[in-house]
Amino acid sequence: MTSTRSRAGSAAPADDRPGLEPLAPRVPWREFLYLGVVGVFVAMLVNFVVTNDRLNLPVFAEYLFDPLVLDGLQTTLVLTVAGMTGGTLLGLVLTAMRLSSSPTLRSVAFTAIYVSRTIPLLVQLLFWFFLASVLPEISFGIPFGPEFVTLETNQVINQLGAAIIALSLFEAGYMAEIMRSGVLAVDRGQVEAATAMGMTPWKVFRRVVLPQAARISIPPTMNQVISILKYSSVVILIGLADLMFAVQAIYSRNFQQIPLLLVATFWYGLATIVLTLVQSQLEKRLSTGLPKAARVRMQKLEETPVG
Amino acid sequence: MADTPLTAAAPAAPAAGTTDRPMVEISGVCKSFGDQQVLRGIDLSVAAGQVACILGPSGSGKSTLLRCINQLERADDGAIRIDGDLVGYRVHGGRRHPLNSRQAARQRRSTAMVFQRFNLLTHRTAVENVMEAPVHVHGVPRQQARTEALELLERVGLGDRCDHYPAQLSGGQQQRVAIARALAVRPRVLLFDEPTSALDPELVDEVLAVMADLAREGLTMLVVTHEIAFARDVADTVFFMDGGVVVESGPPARVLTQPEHPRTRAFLRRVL
Repeated sequence: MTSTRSRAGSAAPADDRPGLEPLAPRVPWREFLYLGVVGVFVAMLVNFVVTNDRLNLPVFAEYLFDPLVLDGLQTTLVLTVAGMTGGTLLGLVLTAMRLSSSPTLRSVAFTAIYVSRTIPLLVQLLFWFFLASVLPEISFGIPFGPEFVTLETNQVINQLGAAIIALSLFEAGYMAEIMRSGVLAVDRGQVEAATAMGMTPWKVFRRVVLPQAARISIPPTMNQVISILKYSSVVILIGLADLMFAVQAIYSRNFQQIPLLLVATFWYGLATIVLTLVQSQLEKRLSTGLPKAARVRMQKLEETPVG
Repeated sequence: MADTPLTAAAPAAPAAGTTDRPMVEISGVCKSFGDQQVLRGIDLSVAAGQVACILGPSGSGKSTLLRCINQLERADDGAIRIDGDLVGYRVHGGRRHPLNSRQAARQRRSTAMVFQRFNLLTHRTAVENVMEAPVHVHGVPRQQARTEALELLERVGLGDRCDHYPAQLSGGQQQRVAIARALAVRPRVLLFDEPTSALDPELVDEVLAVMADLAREGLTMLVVTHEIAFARDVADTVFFMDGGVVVESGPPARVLTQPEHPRTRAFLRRVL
Protein backbone atom coordinates (compact mmCIF):
# COMPACT_ATOMS: atom_id res chain seq x y z
CA MET A 1 0.00 0.00 0.00
CA THR A 2 2.57 2.57 1.08
CA SER A 3 4.81 1.88 -1.89
CA THR A 4 1.86 2.31 -4.25
CA ARG A 5 1.03 5.64 -2.74
CA SER A 6 4.60 6.93 -2.89
CA ARG A 7 4.85 5.92 -6.55
CA ALA A 8 1.70 7.89 -7.29
CA GLY A 9 3.63 10.90 -6.00
CA SER A 10 1.95 14.26 -6.27
CA ALA A 11 -0.91 12.98 -8.42
CA ALA A 12 -4.53 13.13 -7.25
CA PRO A 13 -5.11 11.82 -3.74
CA ALA A 14 -4.82 8.08 -4.00
CA ASP A 15 -7.71 5.89 -3.05
CA ASP A 16 -6.95 3.16 -0.54
CA ARG A 17 -9.70 0.87 -1.66
CA PRO A 18 -8.38 -2.24 -3.44
CA GLY A 19 -8.93 -2.12 -7.19
CA LEU A 20 -8.59 1.66 -7.31
CA GLU A 21 -4.79 1.89 -7.05
CA PRO A 22 -3.23 4.39 -9.48
CA LEU A 23 -2.47 3.18 -13.00
CA ALA A 24 1.11 2.10 -13.61
CA PRO A 25 2.67 3.84 -16.62
CA ARG A 26 2.52 1.68 -19.72
CA VAL A 27 5.77 0.95 -21.51
CA PRO A 28 5.18 0.07 -25.21
CA TRP A 29 7.74 -2.73 -25.30
CA ARG A 30 6.18 -4.26 -28.35
CA GLU A 31 6.37 -1.00 -30.27
CA PHE A 32 10.09 -0.74 -29.39
CA LEU A 33 10.64 -4.23 -30.74
CA TYR A 34 8.92 -3.43 -34.06
CA LEU A 35 10.84 -0.17 -34.34
CA GLY A 36 14.10 -1.96 -33.68
CA VAL A 37 13.51 -4.58 -36.37
CA VAL A 38 12.34 -2.02 -38.91
CA GLY A 39 15.29 0.22 -38.01
CA VAL A 40 17.77 -2.56 -38.79
CA PHE A 41 16.22 -3.14 -42.20
CA VAL A 42 16.18 0.59 -43.00
CA ALA A 43 19.83 0.85 -41.94
CA MET A 44 20.72 -2.08 -44.21
CA LEU A 45 18.95 -0.44 -47.14
CA VAL A 46 20.61 2.93 -46.56
CA ASN A 47 23.98 1.23 -46.22
CA PHE A 48 23.39 -0.65 -49.48
CA VAL A 49 22.44 2.52 -51.34
CA VAL A 50 25.18 4.74 -49.94
CA THR A 51 28.15 2.38 -50.06
CA ASN A 52 27.32 0.67 -53.34
CA ASP A 53 29.21 2.28 -56.22
CA ARG A 54 27.57 -0.01 -58.76
CA LEU A 55 24.18 1.55 -58.01
CA ASN A 56 25.42 4.67 -59.74
CA LEU A 57 22.99 7.22 -58.33
CA PRO A 58 24.37 10.09 -60.40
CA VAL A 59 22.96 8.29 -63.43
CA PHE A 60 19.51 8.43 -61.80
CA ALA A 61 19.82 12.19 -61.39
CA GLU A 62 21.20 12.61 -64.88
CA TYR A 63 18.29 10.90 -66.62
CA LEU A 64 15.45 11.96 -64.31
CA PHE A 65 14.56 14.92 -66.53
CA ASP A 66 15.92 13.53 -69.78
CA PRO A 67 13.74 14.70 -72.71
CA LEU A 68 13.24 11.09 -73.82
CA VAL A 69 11.97 10.19 -70.35
CA LEU A 70 9.69 13.23 -70.15
CA ASP A 71 8.23 12.51 -73.60
CA GLY A 72 7.63 8.94 -72.53
CA LEU A 73 5.93 10.12 -69.34
CA GLN A 74 3.68 12.34 -71.43
CA THR A 75 2.69 9.39 -73.63
CA THR A 76 1.95 7.29 -70.53
CA LEU A 77 -0.28 10.02 -69.13
CA VAL A 78 -2.06 10.47 -72.47
CA LEU A 79 -2.70 6.71 -72.64
CA THR A 80 -4.02 6.67 -69.07
CA VAL A 81 -6.37 9.59 -69.56
CA ALA A 82 -7.59 8.46 -72.99
CA GLY A 83 -7.97 4.82 -71.93
CA MET A 84 -9.85 5.72 -68.77
CA THR A 85 -12.11 8.21 -70.55
CA GLY A 86 -12.93 5.73 -73.30
CA GLY A 87 -13.37 2.93 -70.79
CA THR A 88 -15.61 5.00 -68.52
CA LEU A 89 -17.87 6.21 -71.34
CA LEU A 90 -18.17 2.73 -72.82
CA GLY A 91 -18.67 1.32 -69.33
CA LEU A 92 -21.46 3.78 -68.65
CA VAL A 93 -23.27 2.64 -71.80
CA LEU A 94 -22.73 -1.02 -70.84
CA THR A 95 -24.05 -0.38 -67.32
CA ALA A 96 -27.16 1.31 -68.64
CA MET A 97 -27.74 -1.62 -70.98
CA ARG A 98 -27.02 -4.18 -68.27
CA LEU A 99 -29.62 -2.57 -65.99
CA SER A 100 -32.20 -1.96 -68.71
CA SER A 101 -35.50 -3.81 -68.87
CA SER A 102 -34.80 -5.09 -72.38
CA PRO A 103 -33.52 -8.68 -72.41
CA THR A 104 -31.74 -8.05 -75.73
CA LEU A 105 -29.75 -5.09 -74.42
CA ARG A 106 -29.01 -6.96 -71.18
CA SER A 107 -27.54 -9.96 -73.05
CA VAL A 108 -25.49 -7.74 -75.34
CA ALA A 109 -24.03 -5.91 -72.33
CA PHE A 110 -23.40 -9.15 -70.46
CA THR A 111 -21.52 -10.58 -73.44
CA ALA A 112 -19.54 -7.39 -74.03
CA ILE A 113 -18.48 -7.21 -70.38
CA TYR A 114 -17.53 -10.89 -70.47
CA VAL A 115 -15.41 -10.42 -73.59
CA SER A 116 -13.80 -7.23 -72.26
CA ARG A 117 -12.75 -8.91 -69.05
CA THR A 118 -11.73 -12.18 -70.64
CA ILE A 119 -9.20 -11.13 -73.27
CA PRO A 120 -5.84 -10.19 -71.72
CA LEU A 121 -4.78 -6.59 -72.29
CA LEU A 122 -1.70 -7.70 -74.18
CA VAL A 123 -3.75 -9.85 -76.57
CA GLN A 124 -6.20 -6.99 -77.22
CA LEU A 125 -3.35 -4.60 -77.86
CA LEU A 126 -1.71 -6.86 -80.45
CA PHE A 127 -5.10 -7.71 -81.97
CA TRP A 128 -5.92 -4.08 -82.72
CA PHE A 129 -2.39 -3.38 -83.85
CA PHE A 130 -2.48 -6.25 -86.35
CA LEU A 131 -6.10 -5.71 -87.36
CA ALA A 132 -5.08 -4.60 -90.84
CA SER A 133 -3.91 -8.13 -91.65
CA VAL A 134 -7.50 -9.41 -91.57
CA LEU A 135 -9.35 -6.16 -92.31
CA PRO A 136 -7.25 -4.07 -94.69
CA GLU A 137 -9.91 -1.44 -95.22
CA ILE A 138 -12.55 0.13 -93.01
CA SER A 139 -15.62 1.50 -94.75
CA PHE A 140 -18.61 3.42 -93.53
CA GLY A 141 -21.91 2.98 -95.31
CA ILE A 142 -25.10 0.98 -95.25
CA PRO A 143 -24.51 -2.62 -94.14
CA PHE A 144 -24.55 -4.91 -97.19
CA GLY A 145 -25.30 -1.77 -99.23
CA PRO A 146 -23.34 1.14 -100.68
CA GLU A 147 -20.22 2.40 -98.92
CA PHE A 148 -19.60 6.10 -98.52
CA VAL A 149 -16.13 6.36 -97.02
CA THR A 150 -13.38 3.79 -97.25
CA LEU A 151 -10.15 4.13 -95.28
CA GLU A 152 -7.07 2.04 -94.95
CA THR A 153 -7.05 0.35 -91.56
CA ASN A 154 -3.38 1.08 -90.96
CA GLN A 155 -4.01 4.77 -91.42
CA VAL A 156 -6.92 4.87 -89.00
CA ILE A 157 -5.35 2.69 -86.33
CA ASN A 158 -1.72 3.61 -85.75
CA GLN A 159 0.25 2.56 -82.67
CA LEU A 160 -1.33 5.17 -80.44
CA GLY A 161 -4.80 4.39 -81.81
CA ALA A 162 -4.39 0.67 -81.23
CA ALA A 163 -3.17 1.31 -77.68
CA ILE A 164 -6.07 3.63 -76.83
CA ILE A 165 -8.67 1.27 -78.32
CA ALA A 166 -7.19 -1.69 -76.45
CA LEU A 167 -6.99 0.16 -73.12
CA SER A 168 -10.54 1.54 -73.49
CA LEU A 169 -12.06 -1.84 -74.34
CA PHE A 170 -10.06 -3.57 -71.61
CA GLU A 171 -11.20 -0.96 -69.07
CA ALA A 172 -14.85 -0.80 -70.23
CA GLY A 173 -15.80 -4.15 -68.70
CA TYR A 174 -14.30 -3.32 -65.32
CA MET A 175 -15.77 0.19 -65.27
CA ALA A 176 -19.20 -1.15 -66.24
CA GLU A 177 -19.18 -3.48 -63.25
CA ILE A 178 -17.86 -0.77 -60.91
CA MET A 179 -20.62 1.63 -61.96
CA ARG A 180 -23.24 -1.10 -61.80
CA SER A 181 -22.28 -1.84 -58.20
CA GLY A 182 -22.53 1.90 -57.48
CA VAL A 183 -26.00 2.11 -58.98
CA LEU A 184 -27.20 -1.00 -57.17
CA ALA A 185 -25.89 0.33 -53.86
CA VAL A 186 -28.24 3.33 -54.00
CA ASP A 187 -31.18 2.83 -51.68
CA ARG A 188 -34.22 1.49 -53.60
CA GLY A 189 -36.51 3.50 -51.33
CA GLN A 190 -35.04 6.79 -52.54
CA VAL A 191 -35.53 5.72 -56.14
CA GLU A 192 -39.16 4.88 -55.37
CA ALA A 193 -39.67 8.17 -53.55
CA ALA A 194 -38.32 10.10 -56.53
CA THR A 195 -40.46 8.06 -58.90
CA ALA A 196 -43.53 8.68 -56.75
CA MET A 197 -42.81 12.42 -56.99
CA GLY A 198 -43.42 12.18 -60.72
CA MET A 199 -39.81 12.18 -61.94
CA THR A 200 -39.12 10.46 -65.24
CA PRO A 201 -36.67 7.54 -65.03
CA TRP A 202 -33.92 9.67 -66.59
CA LYS A 203 -34.45 12.41 -63.99
CA VAL A 204 -34.45 9.88 -61.18
CA PHE A 205 -31.14 8.63 -62.50
CA ARG A 206 -29.62 12.10 -62.80
CA ARG A 207 -30.93 13.65 -59.59
CA VAL A 208 -30.91 10.69 -57.21
CA VAL A 209 -28.92 7.69 -58.44
CA LEU A 210 -25.94 9.30 -60.15
CA PRO A 211 -24.75 11.60 -57.31
CA GLN A 212 -24.82 8.75 -54.84
CA ALA A 213 -23.48 6.08 -57.20
CA ALA A 214 -20.60 8.39 -58.14
CA ARG A 215 -19.52 8.69 -54.52
CA ILE A 216 -19.59 4.94 -54.05
CA SER A 217 -17.69 4.33 -57.31
CA ILE A 218 -14.77 6.69 -56.64
CA PRO A 219 -12.38 4.41 -54.71
CA PRO A 220 -12.61 1.45 -57.14
CA THR A 221 -12.45 3.84 -60.11
CA MET A 222 -9.27 5.44 -58.82
CA ASN A 223 -7.88 1.94 -58.34
CA GLN A 224 -8.47 1.39 -62.05
CA VAL A 225 -6.81 4.69 -62.98
CA ILE A 226 -3.74 3.85 -60.94
CA SER A 227 -3.47 0.35 -62.35
CA ILE A 228 -4.00 1.47 -65.96
CA LEU A 229 -1.24 4.04 -65.42
CA LYS A 230 1.14 1.14 -64.95
CA TYR A 231 -0.49 -1.53 -67.16
CA SER A 232 -0.19 0.90 -70.07
CA SER A 233 3.49 -0.01 -70.20
CA VAL A 234 2.57 -3.08 -72.27
CA VAL A 235 2.47 -0.71 -75.25
CA ILE A 236 6.24 -1.07 -75.57
CA LEU A 237 5.42 -4.35 -77.34
CA ILE A 238 4.00 -2.45 -80.30
CA GLY A 239 6.84 0.06 -80.18
CA LEU A 240 4.99 2.97 -78.65
CA ALA A 241 7.38 5.28 -76.80
CA ASP A 242 5.92 5.51 -73.30
CA LEU A 243 7.83 5.95 -70.04
CA MET A 244 8.98 2.34 -69.86
CA PHE A 245 10.00 2.42 -73.52
CA ALA A 246 12.17 5.49 -72.93
CA VAL A 247 13.84 3.97 -69.90
CA GLN A 248 14.53 0.71 -71.71
CA ALA A 249 15.86 2.54 -74.74
CA ILE A 250 18.34 4.39 -72.53
CA TYR A 251 19.58 1.43 -70.50
CA SER A 252 19.99 -0.72 -73.59
CA ARG A 253 22.64 1.81 -74.61
CA ASN A 254 24.37 2.50 -71.29
CA PHE A 255 23.57 -0.76 -69.38
CA GLN A 256 22.52 1.20 -66.27
CA GLN A 257 19.32 -0.81 -65.78
CA ILE A 258 18.68 -0.25 -62.07
CA PRO A 259 19.23 3.55 -61.99
CA LEU A 260 16.92 3.94 -64.98
CA LEU A 261 14.27 1.64 -63.52
CA LEU A 262 14.42 3.91 -60.47
CA VAL A 263 13.75 6.86 -62.80
CA ALA A 264 10.60 5.10 -64.05
CA THR A 265 9.61 4.23 -60.49
CA PHE A 266 10.01 7.85 -59.45
CA TRP A 267 7.60 9.12 -62.13
CA TYR A 268 5.05 6.34 -61.66
CA GLY A 269 5.20 7.02 -57.93
CA LEU A 270 4.73 10.76 -58.31
CA ALA A 271 1.73 10.27 -60.63
CA THR A 272 0.18 7.83 -58.16
CA ILE A 273 0.59 10.28 -55.27
CA VAL A 274 -1.10 13.03 -57.30
CA LEU A 275 -3.97 10.67 -58.18
CA THR A 276 -4.37 9.68 -54.53
CA LEU A 277 -4.68 13.35 -53.56
CA VAL A 278 -7.26 13.89 -56.30
CA GLN A 279 -9.19 10.90 -54.96
CA SER A 280 -9.40 12.20 -51.39
CA GLN A 281 -10.50 15.63 -52.65
CA LEU A 282 -13.23 14.04 -54.77
CA GLU A 283 -14.42 11.90 -51.88
CA LYS A 284 -14.59 14.90 -49.60
CA ARG A 285 -16.55 16.90 -52.14
CA LEU A 286 -19.09 14.14 -52.75
CA SER A 287 -19.64 13.20 -49.11
CA THR A 288 -22.60 15.59 -48.64
CA GLY A 289 -25.22 14.25 -46.32
CA LEU A 290 -23.11 11.42 -44.99
CA PRO A 291 -23.69 11.16 -41.27
CA LYS A 292 -21.25 13.41 -39.43
CA ALA A 293 -19.91 10.42 -37.54
CA ALA A 294 -19.05 8.71 -40.81
CA ARG A 295 -17.30 11.82 -42.09
CA VAL A 296 -15.30 12.25 -38.90
CA ARG A 297 -14.41 8.58 -39.02
CA MET A 298 -13.17 8.96 -42.59
CA GLN A 299 -11.03 11.94 -41.65
CA LYS A 300 -9.56 10.03 -38.73
CA LEU A 301 -8.76 7.13 -41.03
CA GLU A 302 -6.96 9.52 -43.34
CA GLU A 303 -5.01 11.12 -40.52
CA THR A 304 -3.93 8.06 -38.57
CA PRO A 305 -1.07 6.09 -40.06
CA VAL A 306 -1.87 2.48 -40.82
CA GLY A 307 -0.57 0.15 -38.16
CA MET B 1 -56.55 14.11 -69.44
CA ALA B 2 -53.39 13.10 -67.71
CA ASP B 3 -52.06 16.47 -68.75
CA THR B 4 -54.25 18.40 -66.36
CA PRO B 5 -51.99 21.13 -65.02
CA LEU B 6 -51.06 20.93 -61.38
CA THR B 7 -52.61 24.26 -60.57
CA ALA B 8 -56.03 22.88 -61.40
CA ALA B 9 -55.76 20.59 -58.40
CA ALA B 10 -57.20 22.51 -55.53
CA PRO B 11 -54.61 22.05 -52.79
CA ALA B 12 -56.89 22.01 -49.84
CA ALA B 13 -60.60 21.94 -50.35
CA PRO B 14 -62.37 23.74 -47.53
CA ALA B 15 -62.73 21.43 -44.60
CA ALA B 16 -66.40 22.26 -44.43
CA GLY B 17 -68.06 18.99 -45.35
CA THR B 18 -66.84 16.54 -47.92
CA THR B 19 -68.45 16.20 -51.29
CA ASP B 20 -69.66 12.93 -52.71
CA ARG B 21 -67.39 13.28 -55.72
CA PRO B 22 -65.21 10.16 -55.64
CA MET B 23 -61.51 11.10 -55.65
CA VAL B 24 -60.19 7.54 -55.69
CA GLU B 25 -62.20 4.74 -57.24
CA ILE B 26 -60.86 1.22 -57.31
CA SER B 27 -62.73 -1.65 -58.92
CA GLY B 28 -61.75 -5.26 -59.28
CA VAL B 29 -58.02 -4.70 -58.80
CA CYS B 30 -55.92 -7.88 -58.81
CA LYS B 31 -52.18 -8.24 -58.45
CA SER B 32 -49.91 -11.28 -58.25
CA PHE B 33 -46.22 -11.60 -57.58
CA GLY B 34 -45.30 -14.87 -59.28
CA ASP B 35 -47.59 -17.56 -57.87
CA GLN B 36 -48.69 -15.45 -54.96
CA GLN B 37 -51.92 -13.57 -55.48
CA VAL B 38 -51.67 -10.47 -53.28
CA LEU B 39 -54.80 -8.61 -54.36
CA ARG B 40 -57.90 -10.61 -55.33
CA GLY B 41 -60.38 -8.08 -56.63
CA ILE B 42 -60.34 -4.92 -54.54
CA ASP B 43 -63.25 -2.51 -54.71
CA LEU B 44 -63.21 0.72 -52.78
CA SER B 45 -64.01 4.37 -53.20
CA VAL B 46 -62.84 7.43 -51.31
CA ALA B 47 -64.69 10.73 -51.69
CA ALA B 48 -62.81 14.00 -52.15
CA GLY B 49 -61.66 15.46 -48.86
CA GLN B 50 -62.11 12.23 -46.97
CA VAL B 51 -59.63 10.26 -44.91
CA ALA B 52 -59.65 6.51 -45.45
CA CYS B 53 -57.68 4.18 -43.22
CA ILE B 54 -56.78 0.76 -44.51
CA LEU B 55 -56.25 -1.74 -41.72
CA GLY B 56 -55.35 -5.37 -41.78
CA PRO B 57 -52.71 -7.93 -40.89
CA SER B 58 -49.28 -7.95 -42.53
CA GLY B 59 -49.31 -9.50 -45.98
CA SER B 60 -52.95 -8.66 -46.60
CA GLY B 61 -52.00 -6.51 -49.60
CA LYS B 62 -52.51 -3.04 -48.10
CA SER B 63 -49.17 -1.61 -49.22
CA THR B 64 -49.42 -3.24 -52.64
CA LEU B 65 -52.80 -1.59 -53.16
CA LEU B 66 -51.34 1.79 -52.28
CA ARG B 67 -48.40 1.20 -54.64
CA CYS B 68 -50.80 0.31 -57.45
CA ILE B 69 -52.54 3.67 -56.99
CA ASN B 70 -49.36 5.62 -57.79
CA GLN B 71 -48.07 3.05 -60.27
CA LEU B 72 -45.07 1.86 -58.31
CA GLU B 73 -46.71 -1.48 -59.15
CA ARG B 74 -48.94 -2.21 -62.12
CA ALA B 75 -52.23 -3.94 -61.31
CA ASP B 76 -52.78 -7.12 -63.32
CA ASP B 77 -56.49 -6.53 -63.62
CA GLY B 78 -59.17 -4.04 -62.67
CA ALA B 79 -59.29 -0.27 -62.87
CA ILE B 80 -58.08 2.57 -60.65
CA ARG B 81 -59.34 6.11 -61.20
CA ILE B 82 -58.08 9.27 -59.54
CA ASP B 83 -60.46 12.19 -59.88
CA GLY B 84 -61.98 10.42 -62.86
CA ASP B 85 -58.67 9.76 -64.67
CA LEU B 86 -57.86 6.13 -65.43
CA VAL B 87 -54.52 5.30 -63.79
CA GLY B 88 -51.76 3.72 -65.87
CA TYR B 89 -53.62 3.53 -69.17
CA ARG B 90 -54.74 5.62 -72.08
CA VAL B 91 -57.94 4.53 -73.78
CA HIS B 92 -57.71 4.72 -77.54
CA GLY B 93 -59.79 3.00 -80.19
CA GLY B 94 -61.69 0.97 -77.64
CA ARG B 95 -58.52 -0.49 -76.10
CA ARG B 96 -56.37 0.30 -73.09
CA HIS B 97 -52.77 1.19 -73.88
CA PRO B 98 -50.29 1.18 -71.00
CA LEU B 99 -48.74 4.61 -70.42
CA ASN B 100 -45.06 4.96 -71.22
CA SER B 101 -42.71 5.98 -68.43
CA ARG B 102 -42.95 9.68 -69.26
CA GLN B 103 -46.76 9.67 -69.26
CA ALA B 104 -46.83 7.62 -66.07
CA ALA B 105 -44.47 10.12 -64.42
CA ARG B 106 -46.82 12.93 -65.43
CA GLN B 107 -49.81 11.12 -63.99
CA ARG B 108 -48.02 10.43 -60.71
CA ARG B 109 -47.96 14.17 -60.06
CA SER B 110 -51.55 14.00 -58.83
CA THR B 111 -50.55 11.82 -55.88
CA ALA B 112 -47.84 11.98 -53.26
CA MET B 113 -46.65 9.21 -51.01
CA VAL B 114 -45.22 9.01 -47.52
CA PHE B 115 -43.23 5.82 -47.00
CA GLN B 116 -42.71 3.60 -44.01
CA ARG B 117 -38.93 4.11 -44.15
CA PHE B 118 -39.16 7.86 -44.96
CA ASN B 119 -36.99 7.49 -48.10
CA LEU B 120 -35.60 11.01 -47.93
CA LEU B 121 -32.78 11.77 -50.35
CA THR B 122 -29.76 11.35 -48.09
CA HIS B 123 -27.51 13.70 -50.07
CA ARG B 124 -29.91 16.65 -49.74
CA THR B 125 -30.92 18.74 -46.73
CA ALA B 126 -34.44 18.82 -45.33
CA VAL B 127 -35.41 21.93 -47.27
CA GLU B 128 -33.78 20.60 -50.45
CA ASN B 129 -35.80 17.41 -50.08
CA VAL B 130 -39.00 19.42 -49.89
CA MET B 131 -37.97 21.61 -52.86
CA GLU B 132 -36.90 18.70 -55.06
CA ALA B 133 -40.24 17.88 -56.69
CA PRO B 134 -41.54 21.46 -57.06
CA VAL B 135 -38.30 22.58 -58.73
CA HIS B 136 -37.37 19.51 -60.75
CA VAL B 137 -40.78 18.10 -61.61
CA HIS B 138 -43.13 21.07 -61.62
CA GLY B 139 -40.69 23.77 -62.72
CA VAL B 140 -41.37 26.13 -59.83
CA PRO B 141 -38.64 28.82 -59.58
CA ARG B 142 -36.04 27.97 -56.91
CA GLN B 143 -36.65 31.02 -54.72
CA GLN B 144 -40.40 30.51 -54.63
CA ALA B 145 -40.00 26.78 -54.01
CA ARG B 146 -37.63 27.51 -51.14
CA THR B 147 -40.01 29.95 -49.52
CA GLU B 148 -42.86 27.47 -49.79
CA ALA B 149 -40.68 24.63 -48.54
CA LEU B 150 -39.69 26.65 -45.48
CA GLU B 151 -43.37 27.37 -44.77
CA LEU B 152 -44.18 23.67 -45.03
CA LEU B 153 -41.32 22.72 -42.71
CA GLU B 154 -42.57 25.35 -40.29
CA ARG B 155 -46.00 23.79 -40.53
CA VAL B 156 -44.73 20.33 -39.56
CA GLY B 157 -42.77 21.92 -36.73
CA LEU B 158 -39.30 21.70 -38.28
CA GLY B 159 -38.60 25.34 -39.16
CA ASP B 160 -35.31 25.16 -37.25
CA ARG B 161 -34.14 21.95 -38.91
CA CYS B 162 -34.31 22.98 -42.56
CA ASP B 163 -30.57 22.79 -43.26
CA HIS B 164 -30.05 19.44 -41.57
CA TYR B 165 -29.30 16.34 -43.58
CA PRO B 166 -31.62 13.36 -43.02
CA ALA B 167 -28.87 11.53 -41.13
CA GLN B 168 -28.89 14.36 -38.57
CA LEU B 169 -32.63 14.04 -37.88
CA SER B 170 -34.58 11.61 -35.71
CA GLY B 171 -37.00 9.18 -37.32
CA GLY B 172 -40.00 11.27 -36.38
CA GLN B 173 -38.38 14.41 -37.77
CA GLN B 174 -37.44 12.62 -40.99
CA GLN B 175 -41.00 11.43 -41.41
CA ARG B 176 -42.33 14.96 -40.89
CA VAL B 177 -39.91 16.21 -43.56
CA ALA B 178 -41.28 13.45 -45.80
CA ILE B 179 -44.82 14.70 -45.14
CA ALA B 180 -43.77 18.26 -45.98
CA ARG B 181 -42.18 16.91 -49.14
CA ALA B 182 -45.42 15.17 -50.07
CA LEU B 183 -47.43 18.34 -49.46
CA ALA B 184 -45.07 20.47 -51.54
CA VAL B 185 -46.53 19.19 -54.82
CA ARG B 186 -50.12 19.95 -53.71
CA PRO B 187 -51.33 16.44 -54.48
CA ARG B 188 -54.95 15.59 -55.04
CA VAL B 189 -54.45 12.44 -53.00
CA LEU B 190 -51.95 11.78 -50.21
CA LEU B 191 -50.90 8.17 -49.75
CA PHE B 192 -49.42 7.04 -46.43
CA ASP B 193 -47.76 3.61 -46.33
CA GLU B 194 -47.46 2.67 -42.64
CA PRO B 195 -45.95 6.08 -41.81
CA THR B 196 -45.34 5.32 -38.14
CA SER B 197 -44.32 1.67 -38.26
CA ALA B 198 -40.58 2.37 -38.34
CA LEU B 199 -40.67 4.89 -35.50
CA ASP B 200 -39.81 4.63 -31.83
CA PRO B 201 -43.03 4.62 -29.77
CA GLU B 202 -42.51 8.12 -28.39
CA LEU B 203 -41.96 9.57 -31.87
CA VAL B 204 -45.20 8.17 -33.28
CA ASP B 205 -47.41 10.86 -31.80
CA GLU B 206 -45.64 13.83 -33.39
CA VAL B 207 -46.19 12.29 -36.84
CA LEU B 208 -49.81 11.34 -36.17
CA ALA B 209 -50.52 14.87 -34.91
CA VAL B 210 -49.29 16.35 -38.21
CA MET B 211 -51.43 13.86 -40.14
CA ALA B 212 -54.51 14.69 -38.08
CA ASP B 213 -53.96 18.38 -38.88
CA LEU B 214 -53.87 17.61 -42.59
CA ALA B 215 -57.07 15.60 -42.31
CA ARG B 216 -58.80 18.58 -40.73
CA GLU B 217 -57.71 20.75 -43.64
CA GLY B 218 -59.67 18.57 -46.01
CA LEU B 219 -56.95 16.70 -47.89
CA THR B 220 -57.94 13.40 -49.42
CA MET B 221 -55.84 10.81 -47.64
CA LEU B 222 -55.39 7.05 -47.92
CA VAL B 223 -53.60 5.78 -44.86
CA VAL B 224 -52.33 2.24 -44.44
CA THR B 225 -51.69 1.95 -40.73
CA HIS B 226 -51.71 -0.17 -37.62
CA GLU B 227 -52.66 2.81 -35.43
CA ILE B 228 -56.23 1.90 -34.50
CA ALA B 229 -56.64 5.00 -32.34
CA PHE B 230 -55.70 7.22 -35.27
CA ALA B 231 -58.22 5.43 -37.50
CA ARG B 232 -60.91 5.82 -34.86
CA ASP B 233 -60.29 9.54 -34.28
CA VAL B 234 -59.40 10.79 -37.76
CA ALA B 235 -60.74 8.49 -40.47
CA ASP B 236 -64.04 9.00 -42.25
CA THR B 237 -64.00 5.45 -43.54
CA VAL B 238 -62.13 2.36 -42.46
CA PHE B 239 -61.36 -0.50 -44.83
CA PHE B 240 -60.32 -3.78 -43.29
CA MET B 241 -58.29 -5.98 -45.65
CA ASP B 242 -57.39 -9.62 -45.30
CA GLY B 243 -56.05 -12.12 -47.82
CA GLY B 244 -56.15 -9.65 -50.69
CA VAL B 245 -59.76 -8.53 -50.37
CA VAL B 246 -61.64 -5.82 -48.48
CA VAL B 247 -63.41 -7.84 -45.81
CA GLU B 248 -65.31 -5.03 -44.19
CA SER B 249 -65.66 -1.29 -44.54
CA GLY B 250 -67.59 1.59 -43.07
CA PRO B 251 -67.33 4.44 -40.59
CA PRO B 252 -64.76 3.76 -37.85
CA ALA B 253 -67.38 3.99 -35.14
CA ARG B 254 -69.04 0.88 -36.55
CA VAL B 255 -66.16 -1.14 -38.01
CA LEU B 256 -63.90 -0.67 -35.00
CA THR B 257 -66.48 -1.10 -32.26
CA GLN B 258 -69.02 -3.51 -33.75
CA PRO B 259 -67.18 -5.42 -36.44
CA GLU B 260 -69.40 -7.85 -38.29
CA HIS B 261 -66.78 -10.05 -39.88
CA PRO B 262 -65.08 -12.63 -37.62
CA ARG B 263 -61.72 -11.85 -39.24
CA THR B 264 -62.03 -8.17 -38.32
CA ARG B 265 -63.06 -9.08 -34.80
CA ALA B 266 -60.08 -11.41 -34.35
CA PHE B 267 -57.66 -8.75 -35.65
CA LEU B 268 -59.05 -5.96 -33.47
CA ARG B 269 -58.96 -8.19 -30.40
CA ARG B 270 -55.27 -8.70 -30.97
CA VAL B 271 -54.26 -5.08 -31.58
CA LEU B 272 -56.50 -3.28 -29.11
